[in-house]
Amino acid sequence: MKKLPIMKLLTHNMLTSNIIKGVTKGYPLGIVASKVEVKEVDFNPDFISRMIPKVDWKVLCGAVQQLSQPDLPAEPVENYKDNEEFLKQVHNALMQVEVIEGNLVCPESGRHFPISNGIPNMLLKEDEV
Amino acid sequence: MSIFDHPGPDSSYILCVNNAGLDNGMSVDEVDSIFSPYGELDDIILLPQKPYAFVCFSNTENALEAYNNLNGFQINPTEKRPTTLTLYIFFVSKVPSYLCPSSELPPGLIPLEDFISPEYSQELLKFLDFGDKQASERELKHRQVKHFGYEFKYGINDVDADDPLPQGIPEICKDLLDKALKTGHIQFYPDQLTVNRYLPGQGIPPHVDTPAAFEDGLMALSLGSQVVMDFRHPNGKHLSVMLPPNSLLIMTKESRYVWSHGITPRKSDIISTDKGLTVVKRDIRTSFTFRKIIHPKDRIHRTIPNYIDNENSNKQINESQSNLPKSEQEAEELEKLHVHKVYEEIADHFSGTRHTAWPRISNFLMSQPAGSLVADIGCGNGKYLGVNKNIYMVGSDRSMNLIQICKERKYEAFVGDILSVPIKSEILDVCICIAVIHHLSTQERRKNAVKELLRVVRPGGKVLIYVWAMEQELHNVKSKYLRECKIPAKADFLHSESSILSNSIDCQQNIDKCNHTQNSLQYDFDSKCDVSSSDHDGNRNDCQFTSIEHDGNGDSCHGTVSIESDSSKSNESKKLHVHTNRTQFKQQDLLVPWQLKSKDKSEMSKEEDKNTFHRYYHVFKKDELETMCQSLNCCKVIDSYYDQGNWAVTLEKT
Repeated sequence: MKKLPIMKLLTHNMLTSNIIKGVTKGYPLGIVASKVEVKEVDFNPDFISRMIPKVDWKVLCGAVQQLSQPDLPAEPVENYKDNEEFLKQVHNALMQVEVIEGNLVCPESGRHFPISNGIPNMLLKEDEV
Repeated sequence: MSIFDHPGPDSSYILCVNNAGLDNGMSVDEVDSIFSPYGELDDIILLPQKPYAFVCFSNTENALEAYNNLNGFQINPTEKRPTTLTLYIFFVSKVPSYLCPSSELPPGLIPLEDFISPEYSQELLKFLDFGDKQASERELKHRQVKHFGYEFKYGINDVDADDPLPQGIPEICKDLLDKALKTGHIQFYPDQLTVNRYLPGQGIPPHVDTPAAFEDGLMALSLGSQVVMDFRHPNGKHLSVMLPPNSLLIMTKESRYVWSHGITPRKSDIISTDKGLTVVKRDIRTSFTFRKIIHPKDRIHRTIPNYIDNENSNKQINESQSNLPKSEQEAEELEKLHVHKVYEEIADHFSGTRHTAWPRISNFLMSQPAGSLVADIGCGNGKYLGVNKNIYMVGSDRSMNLIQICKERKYEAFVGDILSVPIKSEILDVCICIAVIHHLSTQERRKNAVKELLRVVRPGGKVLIYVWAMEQELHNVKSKYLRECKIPAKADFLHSESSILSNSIDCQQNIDKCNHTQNSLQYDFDSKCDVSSSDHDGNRNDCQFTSIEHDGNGDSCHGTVSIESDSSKSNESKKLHVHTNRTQFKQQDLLVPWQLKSKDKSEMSKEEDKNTFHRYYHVFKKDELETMCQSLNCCKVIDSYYDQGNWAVTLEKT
């Protein structure tokens, strides 16, 4: 049980750079990671089942790919609620893959948001707002 | 050898241990005896008047073991220390700015790395050979010292210009001095050299080299070991500068005349690398300090450059900013100075952190269905992020230092601004925003903040907002802020598993103590501030805990006090008044002072001004928050209530 800072891909799934002036979509953010770890987190199948319809599946698949983690199927499998193996796969992607150092990259402007010590810094400079 | 060659682990192995500081009556030896059973310690750092200690392990595993065994550990009272101390520990990936070298330098300071080659360095050390005892050598309490050119007399911080030493600046220094002159940062070839030899654990007290005695442009060459040098401005600002071996430090202008420099006696330095913090042991360090003396006959014609003037003009600018903002830009400036900067400084010192989730907010979070996606915008130290284990919560705050505290507690969090929330629209089920919007300084900005909160939740999703109320007394019941301090009820500690923070009993004892000594200690209402104390300059004390409750001595104001300032109606420039703590609010836009306690009364009186700084608030009148939210036409107010001096609304996005 390590207590070290990280950013999870579920958080990545929510973040956008459309706060930058002129950027309309800003989603999904690219991930350029220099340090990624996979850490064990308690598996809660019910929680994961409830997350699946909420996440942007394509974005999650893309993120997993960018971090060279085991691929997810292109679509959630049918009746996933009872498919423990699949839920474990998703659990790993959403909760266990952790970006510690790197950058989130705006897909439109190329602006980098640094992730340092697991903390994405999404603050903009005055002229970007 | 680079200082970064230290084979440190990839991540933090420095523990911040609350209630183990000098301020708690602890000593280095005592901390050592508690922590050393868990592994080799690189260093233990106790700072004057601080209620915490930093314990540096040489590897993460040991640090983790100590953390697992000692978090919540109780130290029995001793004769010297009558109270039981409970240790609360967390990992730090950042230490207060004065402990770790920052990129900011005092103006006029020029550090030049790798100024000489390692071979040259060896030759210089060989030339000195501290082994033999020369006439000019002296043992100082803290270090060995040799002089060339003139003897630097520590008693008077000066030289006797009419009594030069037989040996001038050694010939061997010529190459490096020529090189230094070529940089253009110094104007004179030095004629005085002091060589100090510091063993690990030795230091030099803070001092300014006598302005009248030496020309501008002092130089310090470091050999053999790195060291962190502390620079302090008279206004209390404290910066640390890393001096790697073979580097030359040139002190000019303000850094030479205004800032003091010194070395804290320690056996190691904490430095920040791109991999995190690491502790580097100090080795024997030899420093060459070169100066050009001003002969006494020339001194009378000279005036010492006055760099203090700049400081005064800065202060005036700050004061002129304490008006109600008239433009967007002024609003940003005001918030930068009186909100962001203050929280950043408060967060930087982890001490005295207390952690009580407000029950109604916890209940709200507990009532959300499992699997809800929730954001806490302006999450501060993250006290709500772990309340409900069955929902996914992510926190956002403007303060990097506060987010770091969240991260150390293993919560998901990022740094962001409430006016530009970097979350995709309509993806959250719930958003909470506790004690944040009252820090925005125009009506427009407060409205935009609520718009942002509503933007990120899905239709049907909920937003819970808390703001500080103008009315601190409702139905003849005074709020906690006005009431006398009492021990918080057990029920307040819903969140005990993560309360790594000082407990209520300690809090009560401290309050009693402070009341007895009549210090002008003031408490702060805001939950965020119980993260830690604020320490304006890194040099003084902290308020170890915060609480709120105090006896109101003013009359009840609701409905009777005329509102002097209402930013939504008036465009006139209005001076922001400084609120008197524990009293009823007299206006809606104000600066709330934060005052640090000091145990030493004499210090208190001297430094009272420096220990006070101000946060901007717009306190909300009854119905104001509700009306503002309704005016946005994209939500309905499904609940609206008063909770301990705060107005709260629950909105549903339509």
